[in-house]
Amino acid sequence: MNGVLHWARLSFRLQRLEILLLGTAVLVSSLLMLWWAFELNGVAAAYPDCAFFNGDATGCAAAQERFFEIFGAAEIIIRNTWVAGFAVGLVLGVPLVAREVEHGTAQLAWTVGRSRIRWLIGRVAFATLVTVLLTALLAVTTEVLAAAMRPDITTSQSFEHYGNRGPLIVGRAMLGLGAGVVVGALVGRQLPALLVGVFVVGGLYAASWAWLPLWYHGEAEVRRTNEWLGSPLYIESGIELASGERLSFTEVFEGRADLLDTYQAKDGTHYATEADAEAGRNPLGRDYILVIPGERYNEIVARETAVFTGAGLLLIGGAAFVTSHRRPA
Amino acid sequence: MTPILEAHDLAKRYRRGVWALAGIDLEIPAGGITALVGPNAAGKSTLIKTWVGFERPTRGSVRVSGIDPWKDRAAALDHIGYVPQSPALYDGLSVEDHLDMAVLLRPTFDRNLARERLDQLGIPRAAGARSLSGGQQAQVALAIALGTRAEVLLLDEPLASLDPLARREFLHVVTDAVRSDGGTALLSSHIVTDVEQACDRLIVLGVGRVLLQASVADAVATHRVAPADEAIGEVIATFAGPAGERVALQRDGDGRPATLEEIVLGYLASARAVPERGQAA
Repeated sequence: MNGVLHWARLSFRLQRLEILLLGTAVLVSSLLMLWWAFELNGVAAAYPDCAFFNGDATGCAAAQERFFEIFGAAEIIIRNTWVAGFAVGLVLGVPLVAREVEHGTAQLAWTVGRSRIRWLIGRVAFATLVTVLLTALLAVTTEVLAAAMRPDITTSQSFEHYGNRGPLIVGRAMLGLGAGVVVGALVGRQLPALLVGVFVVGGLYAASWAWLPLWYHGEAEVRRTNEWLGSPLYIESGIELASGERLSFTEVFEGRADLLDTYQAKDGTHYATEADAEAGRNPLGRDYILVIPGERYNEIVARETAVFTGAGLLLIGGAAFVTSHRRPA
Repeated sequence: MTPILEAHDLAKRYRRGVWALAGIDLEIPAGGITALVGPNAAGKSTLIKTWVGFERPTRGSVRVSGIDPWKDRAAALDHIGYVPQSPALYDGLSVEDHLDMAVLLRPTFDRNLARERLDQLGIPRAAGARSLSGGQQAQVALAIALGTRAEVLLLDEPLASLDPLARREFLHVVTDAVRSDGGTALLSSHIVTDVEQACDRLIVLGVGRVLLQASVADAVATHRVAPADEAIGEVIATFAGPAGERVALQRDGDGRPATLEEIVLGYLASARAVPERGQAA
């Protein structure tokens, strides 16, 4: 136990600058978010009869003005919290090996210690602890703020502000940490590694956005365009033909553009002629939306957090391989 | 004597195609201080780094106490205390923090020995590494290497950036440690006068090859210097003397006894006739 505390103390000193900068940024933004949440809750409590979303706003002009004034400011920060996880992980991960190589201290650490892997595990363990603590604080405060911003819905059963709140921030931070460590170990210089790390994480994030809908496709539910309720997670939209075959709008544009030149009823059904539409006969197909319902929010977030964390751990494993094989300077 | 450091047909080529080492065979016995002398880019650092496990041989093999560091690096490192060319310490840590870290990285690290060495030199252990002079930083790196209680110290040009007083103090600590503990040290330098008083053995490295390997006493006893046009022994090479005159280093023969510096200069001059490393390998 004593050794662990000693290691934590030394690790903190080695990353003091990053930890203090990130810690301050996270603390300030968390306090700000809690303050906004407090203010929003205060407005909602003061005007219990006013519906701020999808409701009658008669007699609530002052309350709405105040609510949306705070809401607007809060939205700017909560819309960008997805970056925070990656940033925390990257900034803490990149210097772990890169700084040691750049400053030549790896020569000391890697000869006094018998195992570079063991050394790296010690360094990564502390960085992981700090990453999780900082981003967990963000996860909690973003959840509090998101709930205050939408008093009309249960945020634990809604994809409102999906990806910008809760444990996903921690998972993304783990991915950023893993990417930072492995890129730092490969590049061996801090600033170039940070820049490369930004591109790597950006690429992984973009890939995840492309891949996740494919993953969810098989388990998504079909909704009609007029059934967009409960803040579900959008996966795909398109036209379901009378035969039952579903064509996404991408496929429609690419191969069945004729379906776009049709008469469409209010319920999203397509007809060849206006007369058919009016009579409701010979429907060609009907618009659909594939969604994951809001009730599955917690499950989806837990799953994605696990995926991001797992990917981060894999990258850390890669960093261990690189570290054990690379030159120390 | 059993060799503690070995290199067999060791060659190392870097990615840009330059051969740093071109087939080296060396056996350094346990005990005493060996000077590894050669000009810049002779391959001294590369040779030391292959023993530490930082550089993988392109050809051949190295051993530390019979262990190939590329087969069992951890076991090889057990036998090595290493001081790099520029003793990089952690800016954010104090001297004592460095000792704490060494204990955490190597549980057998002798913190008291390292502390004693530092205290003898008057280096404040509470001071931040950043506030130390270059000489003090080198001493801290040496104290850490000594604290490992390793059988062999590999010192990679630690004197290069030190002022004369710091060099002398550093050499004194190395000599004292090796003599008192019966250890082995390999000290590389490109300036022979830095190391001649401290060393028992001499290895001259030039263009990636071993040009001379001998005890200092044997080297001095068997080499002589004479004006180039009067040399009658086995001439190793001719080179410019202090006044610009041509002198010849010869094995035995006539002339006055050669100094260690002249022996090194003579062998380095002889290497000019050796094909370039890229061709030789």
